[in-house]
Amino acid sequence: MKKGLLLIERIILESLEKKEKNIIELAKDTTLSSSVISNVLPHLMMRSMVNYQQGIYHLIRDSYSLREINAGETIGDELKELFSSLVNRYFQQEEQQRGVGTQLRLKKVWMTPMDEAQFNAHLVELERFLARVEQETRQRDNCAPVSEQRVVFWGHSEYSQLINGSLMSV
Amino acid sequence: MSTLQQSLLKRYHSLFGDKTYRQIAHDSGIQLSRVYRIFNGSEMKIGEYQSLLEQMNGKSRDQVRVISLTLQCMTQLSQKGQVELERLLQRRVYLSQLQYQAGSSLVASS
Repeated sequence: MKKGLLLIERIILESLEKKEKNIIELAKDTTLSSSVISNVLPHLMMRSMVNYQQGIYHLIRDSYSLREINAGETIGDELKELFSSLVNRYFQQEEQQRGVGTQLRLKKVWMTPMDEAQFNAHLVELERFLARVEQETRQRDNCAPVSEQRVVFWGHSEYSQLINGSLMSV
Repeated sequence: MSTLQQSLLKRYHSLFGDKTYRQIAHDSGIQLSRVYRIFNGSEMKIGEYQSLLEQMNGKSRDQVRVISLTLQCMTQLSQKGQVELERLLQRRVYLSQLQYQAGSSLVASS
């Protein structure tokens, strides 16, 4: 069974992708405790994703393991964990916070072909907006902590396909 | 420390080894300073003993339920379902190990 990344491993790799760091800098960038980071890093080193020199951790950018963890089913496990965490977080918030902090929306609607075309156009617009934000962030040599990023989900499917999928998982 | 107390604390540690003194105090209703003293040799009072025992019995019941449910999954779920469950459990166990590997939280932090 191929082993994917936990969220805490992913955020550490994302932090090192920006710039090599020591443990204290990683803790500041990721908001993970130094002790958790110290436990995670040896596993990442064993998987040849990170190396260590004179107190500084570096991402091994051309690592085969890094390419593997972004493939198919291993990414799926991470997405499930991320989405599950979002759902838990949303419901842990007080009622009045739900429009402000973590947000979650679900709709089941019938769409005409015209509605579907308009909906897809909105999604393309959303993708363009997020790509632009990403581009502008890169251009301004962003120093904000990796933990301060907003995680945005979107996706849709036919209701019957989702139901069939859940039946097939047992 | 009596043998009875030692045996209880040993069993408690095996069930809740990742808890800090502060968490134990919160869950048991025993004062934090008393929790520290109990785990460092002071004699427990009957009420404190009962409180920790109740927590352990609750956890044991939870564990029996989870084990029983896992066995049911192994007999009822398809291969695909079992693999999906196994992946989920592996990730949770691994995350737990990474979080608590730094040393027994019963000993140091509060």
